[in-house]
Parts: sequence; C-alpha cells; structure tokens
Amino acid sequence: MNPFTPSVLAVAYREFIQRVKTKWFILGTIGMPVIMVGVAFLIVFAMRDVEDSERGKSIGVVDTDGTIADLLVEELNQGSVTASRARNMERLPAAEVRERFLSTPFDYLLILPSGAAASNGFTPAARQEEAGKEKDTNDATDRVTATLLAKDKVPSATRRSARDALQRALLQTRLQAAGVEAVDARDLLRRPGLNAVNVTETGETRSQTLQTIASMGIVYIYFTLLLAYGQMVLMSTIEDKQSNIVEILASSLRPWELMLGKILGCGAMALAQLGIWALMLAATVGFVFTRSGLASLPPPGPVLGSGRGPITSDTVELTSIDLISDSISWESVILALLFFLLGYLLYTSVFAAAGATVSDLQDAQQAMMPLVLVSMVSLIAGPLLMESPNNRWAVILSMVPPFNAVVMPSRLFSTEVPPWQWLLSMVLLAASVTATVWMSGRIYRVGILMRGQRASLPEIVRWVRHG
Amino acid sequence: MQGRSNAVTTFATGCSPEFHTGSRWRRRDGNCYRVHMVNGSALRLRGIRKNYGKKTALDGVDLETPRDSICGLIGPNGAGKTTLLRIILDIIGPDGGTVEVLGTTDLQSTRRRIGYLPEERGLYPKMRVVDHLVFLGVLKGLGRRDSTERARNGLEEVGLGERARDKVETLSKGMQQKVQLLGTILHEPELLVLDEPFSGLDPLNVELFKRLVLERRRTGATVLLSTHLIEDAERLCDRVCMIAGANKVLDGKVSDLKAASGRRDLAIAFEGSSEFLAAPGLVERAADQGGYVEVRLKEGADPQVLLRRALESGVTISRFELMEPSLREIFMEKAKAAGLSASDALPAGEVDGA
Repeated sequence: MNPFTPSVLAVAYREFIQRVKTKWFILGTIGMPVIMVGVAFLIVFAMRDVEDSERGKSIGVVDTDGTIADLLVEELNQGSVTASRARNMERLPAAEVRERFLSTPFDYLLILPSGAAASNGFTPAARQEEAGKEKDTNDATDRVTATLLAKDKVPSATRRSARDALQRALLQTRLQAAGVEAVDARDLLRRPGLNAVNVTETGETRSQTLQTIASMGIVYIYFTLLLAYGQMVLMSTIEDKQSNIVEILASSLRPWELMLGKILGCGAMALAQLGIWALMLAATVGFVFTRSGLASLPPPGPVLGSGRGPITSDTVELTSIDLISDSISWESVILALLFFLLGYLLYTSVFAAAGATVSDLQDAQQAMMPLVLVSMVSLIAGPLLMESPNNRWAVILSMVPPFNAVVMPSRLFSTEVPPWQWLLSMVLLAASVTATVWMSGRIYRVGILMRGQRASLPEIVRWVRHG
Repeated sequence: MQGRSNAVTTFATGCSPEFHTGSRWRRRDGNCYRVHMVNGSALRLRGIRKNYGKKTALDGVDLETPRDSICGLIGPNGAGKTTLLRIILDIIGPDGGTVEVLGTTDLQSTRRRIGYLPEERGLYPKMRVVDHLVFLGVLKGLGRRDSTERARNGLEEVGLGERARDKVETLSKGMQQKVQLLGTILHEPELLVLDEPFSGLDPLNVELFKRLVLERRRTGATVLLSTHLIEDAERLCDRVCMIAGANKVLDGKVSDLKAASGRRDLAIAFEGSSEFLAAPGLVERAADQGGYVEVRLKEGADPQVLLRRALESGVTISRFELMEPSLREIFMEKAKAAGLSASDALPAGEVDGA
C-alpha cells in the first residue's frame, strides 16, 4: 500500500507551506541560533566584567603568626587583586577583627588561623578554636581553613584564586621549613596534561574530548528537537479540532492519511529548519577557520586567576576540521540521522495520538506530561553516557525504544558500538514505530471526532482494540 | 467474475442477495467488495445499526434515495441524523447493516464524489481564502490548477472575488459561510450531504445556499440534507425521512405522504346555526369560531356528507375547503402513532410554533 496518497501529500503540503510562510518560522529559524550564540557571548562578557571589576580590589592579609603572610601577599598579587598585610589587625581577637573590617579600606580580609604553617596543619589549640566553624569538605580536620571576610558577595573565581595563592604560599613555607630551598611552587603544582585517545581495532585513534562533546550534544539536541516537533504535530491536531474543520477533513480522507500528512509536513519543515541551521553552522565555521582558526575564539570560561594559576582546565584543541572528522566517523553520522528519522516518526505519531484525545490546550498540556517525563529519561542518562558509554545501563537504554532514538546516536559518537547492537536497536525502533503508528492511527481515527472532555485511558484502550 | 455472488461471503454484513444483481467483484486489502453498477439509487441503506457504548444511536434504519432528488432527513436533535450522515460518508462505520452510496459499497471510492457540509463547520483561520478552497479541492481529487480556477470563479460568483487573497480570519461570519459552501461544491459532487445547512446563517445566505443547492440538483446531483426545521424540508425537499428515537418513523415523497395522510381537515365559513357539526359519526373535532370553523373529519368520513347535512340544516355556505395537511401535522401524527411524545419527535421550540 502506497502511503503517499495524493491526500497525504495535500495535507503535508499545506502543513509545510503554512508553517514556512509565517514570520515565526523565519524569526525562529534565524533567531534561535542567534539567541543561543548571543546568550553564550553574554555569559562570556558578564564573566569578563566580573573579572574586570575584581581587578583593583584590595585584600588584606591577617596572619597572627606572621609566618606566611609575606609569601601569601606576593602570591596574591600575581592575581588580579592588590594584596597587602593588615598589620594593625594581627594582634586583635577574631571578633574585633570582624567588627573593624567594615571601617577598613580593604574589600576583602583573609584571616589565617594560627599555626597554619606547621607541617601538620593545626595546633591542637587552633583546631579547637576552629571546631564548630564552617567546614566544607570531608577531611577538614587535617587541613588549614582560612577565613575570607568580604564586604560584598565573593565571586567564586576570587575565592578560588585566594585559595590557590594560599596553597602555594603554604607549600613554599612548609618546603622551606623542611629544608628545601628556592622552589617554584607554581611549577610544582602545575597539573600535568593527559590526552585520552581511543585506539580501536581498525587502528583509528580518536580524540575523546570531541567525542564527549558530540555525544552529550546529540542527547540535548535530539531531545529538544523530538519534543519540539512532536509538540508541533500535537498542536496541529488540536488546531483542526478547534477550527472545526476536522469533520470536513474526515469526510475527504482517511484519518491515517491526515495523521501521516501532518507528520510529513511538519517533518519537511523540520528538515528545512535543520538545513538552514546546518548552512549557518557551516558558514560560521568556515568563516572562523578562514579568518583566524578556532583557537582565537573566546575561551569557554575565562576565570579569574585560574588562567594564570597552576590548575588549568583541559582545553579542547580544535585546530582543524580533520580532527572533527577523525573523531567522529561518517558512518556514525549517517546512522545517527537514521535514528533521528525513526525517532521523529515515533515521537510525532505518539504526540499526534495524544493530540487526538484532547480538545483544548490545557488538556493538551496534561496529555503531554507523561510523554515528556518518559523522554526525560534519555536526557538524564546523558551524563552517564558521557562518563561510560558502555555501561550496562547505557547499553540497555540504547536498545529500548523510545530511549534508543536518542541514546544510541550518543553512544555511536562516543564509543565503538558493535554492529549487532545498533542493528538490533534499529530493528526494535523500526518495529516500535510500526506498532505506534498503527496504534496512533486507531486512536486518531476515533479521537479527532471527539469533542469536549479529554478521553480517559480505558476509552483510548477501547479505541485501539476496536478501532 | 459475475454470477458468483452466492459463492462468496459478502463483505458487508446482512446484504440480501437481490441487491447484488448487476454487481461485480473487486479484491482489495484481501477483502471482497461489491462494486455495484449505476442504478437508480443514490443511497441505499439497509438495517443500519450503531451503538455508542450502551446508547443506541440507530436501530436498524433503512433509507433509499433516488438520484436527482433532494431528500430531507428530519428529526429532533440527538435522533441519530448526524450519525447516519457520518456512516454514509464513511467517517464512522456502522455496527451492522449495509451502506451503498452512488451505486457502490466501497465507500472509500465514493469520497471524492461527495460534498459534505457538517453542522460544526470551520476553516483554517490563518489560510488565504483561495488557498483554502484549493486545499479542499485537491483533497477531493482536483488538480491544483483546476482547483484554483474553480475557486476563483466560485468566489466571483458569490461576490468574494476581491477577498480571494485575504486570510480567512479577516472575513465576516457570513462570508466564511459562503466560503464553506463553496468548498463543499467546488468539485461538483454527485451527492451533496448537508447537515443542518441553514443553522446559523443570515437570511441572505439562506437564500444563496438554497439557490446553490437547487442549482446542483439541476445539474443532476442528489442532495441529502438534515434539518430539524420541518418547514425548510417541506419547501426544498422532494422526499423526507424522519428519524426519531434511533428509528425511522416516516419515509417517502412529500406529495405521497400528504396524499396518504388523507384530506381530513376542512375550513368552513357559514351563516346560521352550527348545529350541523353535531354529527357523531362524521366529525372528530371542530373549532367553532362563530361563522368560521375548522373541522377534523373522522377517518373514512366523506366530506360531501357533511356539506349536504349543512345545506339541509339551512345554513348558507360561503367557503368549504379541503385543507392539505402540513408535514408538521403528518409528523406529529406519526410520532404519536410510534409511541413518541411530541417533544421526542420535534425539538421543544418546534412543537407549538408555526
């Protein structure tokens, strides 16, 4: 039986034209990436602004022992703040230091506990004094906990750089105490790099960082798109009901033709949208590569101090498109697209059936809830997949519809999936698409003529059983 | 393949053999369908049953409508008219009985030959008027170009030529009604099914609708219209079928129905005493208004006997007229005979009104 009857095509054509011709399509298609990029830039600039405003702020160091204060000031001054010793505060009791802080010119006051420089951490007395104070990690008893007084909220970057400076100062002091001279703590503390590279049986090597980004990205993109387009088909079904045209349609074509037409029409629109986005992405990437290379893009998270500090984050070294194509095979891209198409059919047909069981938007929200919740599973599984794509739960999720439509592509990008796995997954998905389309067609057939109250579950089951 | 009708089980349940004369077989989806040759009937329904859960909407309804006729489907709201129409249109399937439309039981193939105007009708508000009509035309099997041409001509004809490129939502309600009707007849259907076509129409559109419906009929189409307004049916229809309480109460040509119900009502204007009306074997009831009386004769009574009796009693007769019963009176009578109360048979506002 040919599913592409003239009626199906007529409905699909109408859906497509009506959607593409609107202002919202143009605004949404062009606006969405612009907004996303805009938000990303906004965050970057806001972070930079935070960094700038921290520059020039003053920090006073209160060290009752006086053993590491000078070193600490030196370390702190390598960051963006200006540090100096607050000598007049050093003899005062802790409570009074806090009281007088507000009248000092300092923006921050870093108070070291006594005995901080002792190689074993705290003296028993200091330990007692510190007991009951805020402790943020497990082995707090064995570590030095300084206090940072602030007149305003402390940006996390400032807190981090202060802690790093303290760590370096402590290390140098203790090493010197142990007889090690003239060490560069910065050099000592520099975290070594580690490139994780997958070696497959075919001898290919792949960058895991890119794989991680791709596998995580695909989960979010698929999840968002499947839900968005599913919702579109659902709304379109309700629109037919609300504009009272559904009975005329029902007398002109078979319900499954109407459903399929809608799914195809919305699908065509989705493809148009994805195509435009792909072109925009290609144009942007091409532009950036020809102009300056990706390396000159603004860093993903410019953070005060850490850029200079010994603790550097692993950075993705994107130097050429070759790297991308080395990391992600074309086969997996094609398979991922196939999974998306099947997933699209699965999600949209379920959403179409859900739309047929209700008559207004409020009921539609309720009908959609369980569908959204179920699909959330694949979104929540995202981090798990990123961490370990061959974990048994990841494997199970990549087999079971409807999750496999999202999870399998993610695994395909992040690991070597045995062919039997993706083949089985695809067969299961295709089978569930067939079953769902059939079932949805039956629900649709009865549902679209229903008015008023939303159908109950037993009713829907009856529609499916008796058509 | 002819002449095998007895050997194969019929696809449609309960189809009696005499319907299959002149039919041929077609295999489709593994089922056997009878495709009937063109015969005199546009519609032939036998024993249609439909239940919604425990509620019986139709209980064995038969209906036969010849081609080129306008058939009125009458009955109160909730009588099962819309259900019957939906079954004819193959929007829903019957629980039992056979449906033959335009000479075939393969209702799938007849969709394009039918134009349907449902009671709950609407259009896509965001579409341009002409695009909308083209869409409806294409769904009915017209080519896009042909459909566009017909849509433009139709819009000109009903005075909406200027609005062809406007969005549907910018049109007034009356204009939208015109567009809806145009969408129903654009593909020149052989069977026009109209569900309460005049409800909610402004008077000008009622006239336009009637004109267009009669025009379609003149070109050979059959019209089936359901209405709860008996007077509309009486004016427009050649035939009427009344459904009440899930059953057919009455069916036939309007003229036959009137003839069959007999002329038993008399209007008499006279001068003198009304004593002549006191004839127990003759008069069932009389509404004497002094000089004018409306008389209902007993069944089988001869009006001539009453006339003679009046003259013999010495009154002067200035008017003695046999009155034709209105459809409404016939229906009330039939409904009563079928054991239905007047309010069952006709909607509340219709029972006492003119």
